[in-house]
Amino acid sequence: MIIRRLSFWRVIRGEILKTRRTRGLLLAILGPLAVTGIVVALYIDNAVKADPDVSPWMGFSRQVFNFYFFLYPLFAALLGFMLSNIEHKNGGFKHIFTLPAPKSYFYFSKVMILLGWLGLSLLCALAFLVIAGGALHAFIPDYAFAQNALPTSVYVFLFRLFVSLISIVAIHFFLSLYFDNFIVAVGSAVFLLVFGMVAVNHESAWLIPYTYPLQHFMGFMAGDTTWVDQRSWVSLGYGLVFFTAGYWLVSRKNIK
Amino acid sequence: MAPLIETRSLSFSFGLTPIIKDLSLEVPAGSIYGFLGPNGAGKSTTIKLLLGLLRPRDQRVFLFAHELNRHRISILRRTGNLIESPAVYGHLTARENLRFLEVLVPFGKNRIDEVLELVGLSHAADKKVKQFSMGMKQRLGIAKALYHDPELLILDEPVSGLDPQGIREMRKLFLRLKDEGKTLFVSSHLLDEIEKTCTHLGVIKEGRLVYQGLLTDLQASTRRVVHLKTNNPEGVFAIAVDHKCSYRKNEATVSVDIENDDAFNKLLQAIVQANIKVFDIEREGPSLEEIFIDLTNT
Repeated sequence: MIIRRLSFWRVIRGEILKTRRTRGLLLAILGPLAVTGIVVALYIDNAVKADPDVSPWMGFSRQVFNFYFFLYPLFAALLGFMLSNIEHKNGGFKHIFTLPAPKSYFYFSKVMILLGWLGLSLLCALAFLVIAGGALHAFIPDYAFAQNALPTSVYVFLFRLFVSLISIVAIHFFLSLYFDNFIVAVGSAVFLLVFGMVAVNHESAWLIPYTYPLQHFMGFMAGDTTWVDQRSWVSLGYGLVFFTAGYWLVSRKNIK
Repeated sequence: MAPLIETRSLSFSFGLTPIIKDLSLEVPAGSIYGFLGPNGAGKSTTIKLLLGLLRPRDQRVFLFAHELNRHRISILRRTGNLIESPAVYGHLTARENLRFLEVLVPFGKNRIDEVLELVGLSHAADKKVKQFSMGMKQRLGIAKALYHDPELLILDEPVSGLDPQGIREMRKLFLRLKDEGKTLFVSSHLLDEIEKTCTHLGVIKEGRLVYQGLLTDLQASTRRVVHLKTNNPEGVFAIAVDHKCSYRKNEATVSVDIENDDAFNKLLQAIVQANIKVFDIEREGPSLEEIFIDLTNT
């Protein structure tokens, strides 16, 4: 029987099915949940003193985002590795590239899943933040979460973090396609992130994606509410270049 | 009729190392084509070239009379494959592995159960593949190749890892698929299975094709020994000498070395014309293994 040409939508659904039981993906939800939970515990334990000059949301968000600017880039690198490792580990490339669909369908469906999981994780982070604030207000009304609105800078930080992660996930997805090696694909992220933290105040830092999460956190601390800045465009540019390079790599690669 | 698979002087190298040299395959439609060769001869490389996983410099690969690179999608719609170790996702169950294909190509509610039944994995449908034995993974790989009922199956060592019962089941399946009009291109080291299953043979050595054609033609053209039980062994000796055939005597049976089918036919005609009664004819070898070793050692 001659089957129909596969549609992109079906390929995405198939790729999503393949991520079933990939426990690392649960970090997307468990990660922000754990971080928010830790900060809530610190608040309840009174280990964190609320600053009376600062909105309780700002104070709480600072504590949470203090983790995120470092953990999320690592998670982005891990996500890129996990998605390509599903194929590397199981000889999957020789299977999907002999299915009757353009290679681009499989590749870009993985890219969409990557960005989807990142976006979902950050939405969960926002949701947990709001729930945590409400819960803290219920337990400790003195914190006065209910009397204050969630600042715009919280939304801005999470959005800018998402945009900056596009470059990082693209770079590490590319590396993991080329190197079937956890140390290279993910370990390099640790090194580059530390490098980014050291170089954050350098005049050329705007060209280095690994400086962006910390820069955005510093902007959040300063109350910056600019949704899109120069770094956002550079991050999108990196994303475009590395995702395109990744496609070029897989489309031309000899599958041995 | 154009061959279903055709390569035209196909060559391929990994870096500077030539692997496939001037390979011209012709696989007829409706055949079971056995592709043999020693380790490292280029069998798996050839299969990957046929499926577009490796890219040759020129456009030399044709399936269904269409060039592969220009008609890749339409060709792959009609092709199923199993390449080396089966590409199955260990963290999913057997059913979920096929469900992935079902999502891509809906084939009816019962298709997953049908192919699992065909390959004898119904009992393990909901077991995670990482708990499978090698033979079970191999069966699942075949199930995935068969899922969309393709016209052409390209299978690299399909019975590797299967127990004798499993090998027998797969043999019956392949013969049934051929009877349904499908074409199978099978590489294997199990020469006994090739001999029982295949209609055509291609033998590759160091990247070059050393034989291609009907299995029966190959067997007909090779030397073998024929044991003749007659009422006049002395008469058979004389005829064998006239036909320049070497022989051995064993009581009433004369064993004659025969070059090929034509030579045997001439000898037998001469024996009959000499009014010698023939009571029994038994043919001995060579086996495909001996033919293969002969071909690949010359």
